[in-house]
Amino acid sequence: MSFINPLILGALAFLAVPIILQFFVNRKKIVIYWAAYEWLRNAHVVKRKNVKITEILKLIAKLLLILFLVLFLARCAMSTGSKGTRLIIVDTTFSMSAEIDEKKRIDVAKDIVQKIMSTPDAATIICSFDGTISTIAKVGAGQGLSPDALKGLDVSPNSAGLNELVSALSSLPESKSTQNIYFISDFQKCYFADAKATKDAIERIGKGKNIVFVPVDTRTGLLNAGIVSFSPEPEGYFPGCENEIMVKIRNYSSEPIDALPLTLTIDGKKQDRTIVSLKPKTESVVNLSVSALEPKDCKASLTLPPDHFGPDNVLNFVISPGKELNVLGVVKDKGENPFEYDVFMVGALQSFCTPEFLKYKRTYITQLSEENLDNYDIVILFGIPIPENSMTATAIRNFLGKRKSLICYSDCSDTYTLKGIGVEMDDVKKEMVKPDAKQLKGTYLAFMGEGDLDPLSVSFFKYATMKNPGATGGRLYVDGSADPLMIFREVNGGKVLAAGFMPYPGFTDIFYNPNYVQFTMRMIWDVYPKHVFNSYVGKEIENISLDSIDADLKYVLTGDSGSSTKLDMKGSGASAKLGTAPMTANDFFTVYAGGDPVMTLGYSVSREESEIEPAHRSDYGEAIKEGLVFDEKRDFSNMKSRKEYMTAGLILLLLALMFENYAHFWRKGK
Amino acid sequence: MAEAEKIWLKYFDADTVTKLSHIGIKPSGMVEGNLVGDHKSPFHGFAIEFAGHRGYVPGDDVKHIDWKAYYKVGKYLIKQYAQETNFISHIVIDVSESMKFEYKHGSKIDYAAHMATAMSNVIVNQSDSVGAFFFDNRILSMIKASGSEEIIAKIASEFRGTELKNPSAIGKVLSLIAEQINRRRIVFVISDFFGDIEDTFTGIKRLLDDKHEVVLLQIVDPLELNFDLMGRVELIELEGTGRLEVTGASIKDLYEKNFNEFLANFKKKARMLGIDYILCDMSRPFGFHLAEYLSARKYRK
Repeated sequence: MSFINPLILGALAFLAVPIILQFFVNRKKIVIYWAAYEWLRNAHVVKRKNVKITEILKLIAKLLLILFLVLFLARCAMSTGSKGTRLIIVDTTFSMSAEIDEKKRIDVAKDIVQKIMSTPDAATIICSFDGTISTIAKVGAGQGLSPDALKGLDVSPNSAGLNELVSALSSLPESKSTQNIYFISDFQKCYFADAKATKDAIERIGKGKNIVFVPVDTRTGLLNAGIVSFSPEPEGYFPGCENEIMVKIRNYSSEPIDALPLTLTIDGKKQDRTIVSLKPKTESVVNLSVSALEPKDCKASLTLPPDHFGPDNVLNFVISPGKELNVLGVVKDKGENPFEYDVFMVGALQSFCTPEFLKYKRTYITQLSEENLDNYDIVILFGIPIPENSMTATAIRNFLGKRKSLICYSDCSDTYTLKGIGVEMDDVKKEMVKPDAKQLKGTYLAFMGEGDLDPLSVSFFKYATMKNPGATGGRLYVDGSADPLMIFREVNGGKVLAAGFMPYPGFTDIFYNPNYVQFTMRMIWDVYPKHVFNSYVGKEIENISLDSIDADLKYVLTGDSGSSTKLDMKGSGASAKLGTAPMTANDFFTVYAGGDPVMTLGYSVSREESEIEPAHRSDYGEAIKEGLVFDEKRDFSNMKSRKEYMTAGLILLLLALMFENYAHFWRKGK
Repeated sequence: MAEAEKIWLKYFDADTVTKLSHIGIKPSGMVEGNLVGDHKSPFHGFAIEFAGHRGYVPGDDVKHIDWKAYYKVGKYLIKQYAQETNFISHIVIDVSESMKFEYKHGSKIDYAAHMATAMSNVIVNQSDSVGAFFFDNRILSMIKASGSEEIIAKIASEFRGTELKNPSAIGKVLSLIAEQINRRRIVFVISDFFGDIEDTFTGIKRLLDDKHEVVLLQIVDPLELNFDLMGRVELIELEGTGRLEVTGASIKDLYEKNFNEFLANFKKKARMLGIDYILCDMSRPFGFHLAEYLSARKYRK
């Protein structure tokens, strides 16, 4: 049993009052010489035993009433045995790393734990919560909290909310026998500010338990902008060229943010900078240019100025130098045509790929068997069919199995097929069509829906649509057909792009369009087989992709800050990946395979906890009525909810009245 | 004598006596007095109040023959008149130890003394006679009935000289008194009547056998009616050796129940015998009880 106002226990001395009155004061008797003694004697003979019982019962009733009053005022945490154990759960999700006056929320939480531990004596279990509950310390009744007890209480990179808390609590055996549960958290509005859900949660945790929410942060209007992600433009990133990346920034707070500078640094040098303004709870995408780089891994950082939550102000990524791109074009015999079938494609490729980067080779179908496809990254088939069970199909499938890429152009002949790689086509229409202007979004011609560009200025001739676009959808649609003209598909681990036209005069006129290069860039980038940007955010670090993973090698992840973690292999073969648990700090890492560096990557913490704005008492109206204590003042005087105090009080009162009535009726009855 | 007068004055309440005298005490039946008075006597004689005729028998004085009646009926008829006399009353006062009871309203014996003195005054004032018996378990003293004012002082002074030390034996004593007084008297019994009811009424019945009119005045302290002592109390028996330590609240209900049962039984017995019974609660002045009773008696047929 513990008390909030133990000093009031001194009032228990009043218990002596009825006892003194009963046994001492009443001893001052009145002496009377009595005439009607006969009737008195008769009454006394009957009453002698009852008098003692009723007197004692009445005395007990008085004592109970005093006891109730004193315990009520002393704010007794009426708990005995195992029920007396209190459970302190500290939120260690990533948002607890936000700072309050140069102090992290987690440190404030630790102070609160210390403060709770200094209140009434009870056995205590201290746990951390980051989606799962882990016991940090167990403190027996009467024992103090050792200085190292809270060492294990540190911020986790994970994210969790109320539902996870309830699930975790229900699986915690101690929670069933615990009467007082403290949850110390920042109570992010996005996860916790739902009064009805909280009310339901209280019922699930156990009605009648004392659930006290202790917020570590009660500030309002916290400013926090974070870099959500970045990606190259749809046209891709090609080394040696002017490239741009798109950066998505989000304002997580309820206040607008003006003139926020976003800076890109590469290897410590400022590369580009832009200014962005954000409305509350909105996102914005800004472009930054990435200029020509040296042929090595470059560590790039996107940075926002400090705000109330620092970790999401930085996004790290590594730009790999980009090995030369080897492309093999397979064409039919030229015949009477003035140009080779790939001539326009080669022109487009060379317009955005430097000669140092692009190695293109043309070969004919009859010579394909002489080529070692392992030397190429991308194979482009110009009207070359891939029949089922053919040698070509076998060769291509093997090629794709090595995570390479294939682009197939159809010459729209009756014999053309891609069944060898599982791609079905519709009947060839052999007519000229225009792109479907209504279905430009997400396609290679999406850029033509913007500005003054007219998608109808492009036409495709002798086309054939694809039957099964798959989950990723088509890459190009033509007017009058629901099926796409181009599809993207993963086959045998490799990337396949199938087009129902030929990039050649007489088959299409797209190459006459000045936007053909842009179209081709998007197409090539779609099947680009290399990792140009190595960036992992949050849980992505659990699945690191490498060109090849050797199960016999030991993979270690070493950070620039000096940390070193063993990487575990997941899966096998081509789909094998390496992984480790998410971390709580942004950093650059190198993956070592058996001691040799194989990859450099940038790691950035999860953005799932970026909405740091805390919930307040007003967000919990319904739950507070249900018995939740939202202790913003942190005086921890609400060990018992008022409801339960009243219940306990009423029980004692009823007990007292019962004794009194029992005494009364006993007397009457006799 | 001077001292007797002084005691008489102690128990004399002039206002009460004056008021009671206006009401007066009338016997409800016939009384046999020794003097001419205002009250009906069972005897017929030759006086003022015509009662009736009877036939002449030899030996009757011829002067009592009603000649007018002779002329009418042709028979010798003797005229008879109702005799009117005074009444003689006796106040029987319990001076047993129980009458020593005293709480906030004085002692029972003082209350009885006031009552007896007042009643003596009223009786003497209306030219009737009053006497007194003082008793506990025997007759301690007897004051012969008299119509003189001195009798009041005598009765009052007897209270002073009487020591309250013995238990009461009212039934036996009333029987003895019945043997000592003539018939058709008014007997006022002032007591708390704490004793065996059957025994008490045996004595009363003995008085009734002699055609006495019996009036029972039971003096009870309010504490005896309502046991309102809630705290611890030691009760010492007045007419015995009993001693009891109790908490008042604990015993109150059952005691009151027992005592009220006793009073109810007593009253019921008295009614059954046609006896006047007055419960004199000492919380009210004695004059109030007497006035209430006498008024009721006066207008009773």
